[in-house]
Amino acid sequence: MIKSYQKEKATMKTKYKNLIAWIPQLMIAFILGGAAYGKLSSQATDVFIFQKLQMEPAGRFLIGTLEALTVFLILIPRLSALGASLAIAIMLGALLAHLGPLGFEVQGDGGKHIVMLGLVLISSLILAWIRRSSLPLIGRLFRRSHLE
Amino acid sequence: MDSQLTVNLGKIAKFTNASLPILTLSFLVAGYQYSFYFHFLTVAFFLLTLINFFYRHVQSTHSLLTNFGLIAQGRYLIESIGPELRQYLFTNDVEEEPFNRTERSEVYRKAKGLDATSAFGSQLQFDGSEYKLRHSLYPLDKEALQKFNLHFGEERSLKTGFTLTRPFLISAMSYGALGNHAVRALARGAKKTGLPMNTGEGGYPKYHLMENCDLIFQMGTAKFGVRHEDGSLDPHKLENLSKLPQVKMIEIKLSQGAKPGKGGLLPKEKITEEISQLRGVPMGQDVVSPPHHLECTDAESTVKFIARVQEISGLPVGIKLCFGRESEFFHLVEKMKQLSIHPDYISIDGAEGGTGAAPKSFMDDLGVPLFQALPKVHKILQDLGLRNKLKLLAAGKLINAGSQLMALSLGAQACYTARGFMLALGCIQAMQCNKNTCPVGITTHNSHLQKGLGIENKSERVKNYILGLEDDHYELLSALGKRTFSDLKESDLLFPL
Ligand SMILES: Cc1cc2nc3c(=O)[nH]c(=O)nc-3n(C[C@H](O)[C@H](O)[C@H](O)COP(=O)(O)O)c2cc1C
Repeated sequence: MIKSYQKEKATMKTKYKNLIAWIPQLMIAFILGGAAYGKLSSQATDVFIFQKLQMEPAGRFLIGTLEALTVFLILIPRLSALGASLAIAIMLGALLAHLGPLGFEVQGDGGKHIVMLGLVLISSLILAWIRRSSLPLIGRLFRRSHLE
Repeated sequence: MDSQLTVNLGKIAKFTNASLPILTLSFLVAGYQYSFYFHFLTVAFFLLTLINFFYRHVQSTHSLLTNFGLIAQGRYLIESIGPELRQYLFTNDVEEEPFNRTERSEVYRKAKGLDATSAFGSQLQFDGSEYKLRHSLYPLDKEALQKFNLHFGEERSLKTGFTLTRPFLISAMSYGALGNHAVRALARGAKKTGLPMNTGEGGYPKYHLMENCDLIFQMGTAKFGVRHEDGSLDPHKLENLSKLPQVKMIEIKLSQGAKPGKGGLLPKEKITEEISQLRGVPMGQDVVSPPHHLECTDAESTVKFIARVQEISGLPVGIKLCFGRESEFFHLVEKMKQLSIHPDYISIDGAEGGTGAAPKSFMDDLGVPLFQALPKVHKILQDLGLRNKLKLLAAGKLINAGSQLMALSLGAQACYTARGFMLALGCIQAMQCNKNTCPVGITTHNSHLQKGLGIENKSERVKNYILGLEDDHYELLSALGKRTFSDLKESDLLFPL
């Protein structure tokens, strides 16, 4: 009796978690999806950014593809922990760009890029926490033994 | 002896731990100085550094990770594929347990209907540690051999008796432990050859019945399929089940070699809605059958329970047990004699028997192995004058004709095998029967995994295995110079030194 009650509680909790996870998932997918589209379709701003980084055009397509892949992963619940890790990595890279050659304002956008970057970074950190037990390399440390 | 070639993993770990942040910094500088592409590495190594920090200073569940950091992951990684590596590459042909590669491939070859000869010589050690059959100087022609026949129920002159025409049967494996594809493939193979199949303690044999083969209905200690809610026998359900034309015999399972003294154990991962219905148990929790039948607490109550089942079912009724204490078995048989009630057969399950799920210590440390139990049982029955009142069956890694004939020499009259038939179905001994992840779809209810187990295709393999085994039996029997299987005696065996 006790066991089945606990089990019910546990499944309730995962259901609830899966639902909550959609908030950061959609947020990341929406922003990164737009970013990927911009890069892959060679929008002027993106070309400008990658010229500054001296990565035009190969780097732009590479990052664009990675972003698209991230969106894909994020939207599949089973893989979204992996997606979150990838998003974190890409955002760290972007941060390095803004700290370096790019500067905080891009073509006088009033820091719009930085805000987006921050939103994605925070969302993916939250998502990574929600799905910590399936993160690569450290996930198993959060998993409770199934023998419990 | 400390040669220069010694690999000091501790030092390597220290070196790695120190290099990670240094490399991160170097890539950071290179990224700004030379090419922004270096920042791919900056980010990757920054994350690795973080993870490494977490391993060494935050988490405390894994000592190896605390002490050595990231490098220690290598151990877990390689360890996790160890079983596969060992099976694919590193274990030799005769060293795996429970069944080594030569034993498995013999079954595979039979199941595929291939030529079953081997080359060059035996791979076994001939050091006197094994049983061997003693052949005759005067082998018999195959025409001179008598066909196998065993009439269950003849001792009680039952009209509903059952005749077995091969010296082996398909042992109990429940629907639950097996998926429905596996059950149906076995049942269809059984139907094609007319071999009876034990249902196992899985409750109402829905999938077995679809294939219309002869069945031995097994009543486990929880009496799935024929129970009241409290676990006691529901006579009406048993009566109805016994009336099914396919059900030829009833088997009361008292204990099982892999877990004697413990009831069944069906992990919750494997309980689908259907299984809970067929068995009458709730979902979402492990189903544990009690260690003994509610009705059977001593010799007398057990014998009376057997009589009750015989009466209700009107069929031959056997009991299955793993031999434990000699005195207890003696008293049980004594009681049978005293009350003049005896089961129609006793099936002895050796401690080496298999299971879908059981605690390791029960598998390893409990119960008497078959070849030690059989002669004892045979002798007790003889001494008490009951040997011709019932049949004796045996099980425990008897997956080929040779070992089955050894069991027959030790007093058995027919052999059960479960894992032999699993191998025939394509079991690769992945040892995951308790996890619902069986990679060949036998002990799983995952429809994706069961897709690989085509019922018709595998039922042919089951059929081939049955016919191949039967062939081998007669080949060996003629080499032993015996006209019938019942002529086999203990003196036809060479015992280990
Ligand atoms: C997957 C699996 C399921 C089994 N389920 C049952 C069962 O339901 N009832 C039972 O009495 N024995 C069960 N057994 C034990 C077998 O019937 C048999 O007694 C034992 O495995 C010895 O035969 P073997 O060595 O030829 O496999 C099971 C064995 C296996 C491998």
